[in-house]
Amino acid sequence: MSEEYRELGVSIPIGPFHPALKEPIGFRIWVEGEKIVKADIRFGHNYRGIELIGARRNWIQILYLAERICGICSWSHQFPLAQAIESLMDVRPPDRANYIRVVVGELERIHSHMLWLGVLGHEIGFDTLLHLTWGVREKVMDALELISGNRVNYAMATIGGVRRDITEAKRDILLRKLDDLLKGVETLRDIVLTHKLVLLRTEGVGRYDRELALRLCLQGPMARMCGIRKDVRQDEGVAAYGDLGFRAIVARDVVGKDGCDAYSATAVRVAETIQSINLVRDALMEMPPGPISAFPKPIVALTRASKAEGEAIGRYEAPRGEVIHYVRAAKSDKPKRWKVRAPSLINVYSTKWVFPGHQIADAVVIAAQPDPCIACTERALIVDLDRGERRVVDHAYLTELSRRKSKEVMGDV
Amino acid sequence: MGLQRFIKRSPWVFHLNTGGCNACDIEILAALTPRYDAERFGVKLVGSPRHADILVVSGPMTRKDVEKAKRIYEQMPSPKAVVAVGVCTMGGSVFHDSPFVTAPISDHIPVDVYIPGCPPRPEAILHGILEALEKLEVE
Amino acid sequence: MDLNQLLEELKRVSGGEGFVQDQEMSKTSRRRRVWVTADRRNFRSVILKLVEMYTYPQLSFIVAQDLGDRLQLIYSFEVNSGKPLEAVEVSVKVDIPKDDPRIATITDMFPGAEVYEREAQEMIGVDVVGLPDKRRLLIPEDFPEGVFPLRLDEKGIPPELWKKKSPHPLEGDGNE
Repeated sequence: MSEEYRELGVSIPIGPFHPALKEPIGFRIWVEGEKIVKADIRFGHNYRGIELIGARRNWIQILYLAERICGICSWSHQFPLAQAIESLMDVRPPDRANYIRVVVGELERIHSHMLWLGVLGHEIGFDTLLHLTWGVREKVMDALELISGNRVNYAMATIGGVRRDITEAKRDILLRKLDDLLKGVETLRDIVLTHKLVLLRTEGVGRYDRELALRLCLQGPMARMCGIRKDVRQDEGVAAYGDLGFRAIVARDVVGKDGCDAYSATAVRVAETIQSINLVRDALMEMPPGPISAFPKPIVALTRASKAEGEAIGRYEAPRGEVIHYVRAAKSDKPKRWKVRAPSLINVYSTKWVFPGHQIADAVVIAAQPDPCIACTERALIVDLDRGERRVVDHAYLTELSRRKSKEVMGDV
Repeated sequence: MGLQRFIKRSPWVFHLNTGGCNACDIEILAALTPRYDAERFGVKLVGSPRHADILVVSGPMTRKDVEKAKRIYEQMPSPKAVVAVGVCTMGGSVFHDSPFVTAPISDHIPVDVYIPGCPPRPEAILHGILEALEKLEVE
Repeated sequence: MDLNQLLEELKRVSGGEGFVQDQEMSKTSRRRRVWVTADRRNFRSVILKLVEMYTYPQLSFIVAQDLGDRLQLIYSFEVNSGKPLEAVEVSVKVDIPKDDPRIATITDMFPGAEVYEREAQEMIGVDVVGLPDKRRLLIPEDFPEGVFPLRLDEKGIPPELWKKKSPHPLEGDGNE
């Protein structure tokens, strides 16, 4: 134990394992009584050396490796990598492929945001919300299964286009499903944005400010909840987003002000879900006919890519923010260097600046706010150095704290 | 009713992600939510390994997680069963040659049921958990 | 601002080389990239120039790579973010010699850069001077000291650390 730990008194590590879902990650928070005074974040429990083994795969194989960086945003990693390789080869995908890319990307966004909403509900002890959102979410999973044949890893993007077409028949089924889905999400929106418990537990919790968000270069909904209207889909018009006239949503469009807190983050994500449903519908309606890929077969793309040289960057707005892939090629069937930046890296790291000043019971909400591919905390170890005593408490304790606070605040009103 | 033999018991499940990509993890959670509803078999996700009967493991077991995973396994009371979800647990899947991955996880903790798939469907996960339950029953 | 103008402006500060990528992506949108090289001593002034020209350029990432005879860091910024269809990705490449792998930090300008610099530090073994937190970020603690996974020379992953074979090998799965 370092001196620093001693000076600051009680520290609580949260994680790295947690029961409900998502990746292992470690938070360590130092507390004075109930107040958090300092926080530190430990990554690396999930480090699989993907960039390293990516250099041993060929251009087609790494698309499927990229997909397995994250199961929730599998499209959001495969697509920017495909874009980066297209940029290397200077290939423009056909228009129909661009529209199908929008459809898959937005369906993924809907399922990811629904997932987050359920997790938020679970964290604040509102399990009804968890089951409601996951009930609605299954409709999106059905839609993705209809298009790609799989629920989670869709394997849809390829160099120069997409791998499967959306036929007339599928389109009609999808449009019907979307109506259903919209109804479900609108009900959820009315519950979430007005429910007393959600308001009490999220307003003012995890408060950033606009300046801090800009200086830290926060991404995605975390930036948009602070009123920064930035979104790769809007700024760069990737795939067909430019053709569809996409505009990003910030918190003030939904709730009238940029709260920069967990409530604004919730509002942005809920509004984006509805926006995504409309985008999918627009893309399905306006989809032009034509080929779905610039190359007849993946092997042709591989051969062409093996002749490419230089560097390229592919960008896409994942549900959590900007995903950016860098590749360097030197006339080989393998990349020389492949670099991936996922938005959660900076979004999660930024909570370090935001934890101090909050109560322990709010820690789980702050940890969940960036949708960090981490949601619940599992097991915490309380080290009280003054008494030299180590006390192991489980996840139940922290969630219990959070839930007790929910009960208390609900009792007041 | 064949199902009655399952409904007699209520197995509590602890979920451990050892560096997987989340795909299996969201499918495990999906198995617990209304559409698939594992709770009708009494399956409940718990927050501590000390309360759990079944350990559901996903992911290729990264180096950093090995010791922690072993500790979690040891903390579980007997009889216990381990269900490995996804192909990563069997041989590392796409990560098989990474120096940071130590798959298969049976090198570190004993596994009773493997559920193949990348990721397996929620139905398959439910089936796997019920298979593990039978093992507990025999013991 | 025109991409070529931007490139000229940056080249004037850095004294390095550079080029522009401008590719069509769909009917309306284009992919705009500006690449410029800078020296280890003046890359901070290039970044300061960007900050001057555009308030709050957004730091996208820092790529750390081994080019064989030298190391390279690429600082990539998004400028014009928030303006529909106008975003430009500006990448500043900085070469670092292998025998003296030191570089100044940019955390004073971009506090969020801390996480990328810590990553670069452990991946290719550059020494970021002035970085407040020098611990390992991703690599496990029991991993040998002095091994940098993304180095391509003798400081990289030694052959014995690579897993030779898949535990369930297919026929012909030689794994190079």
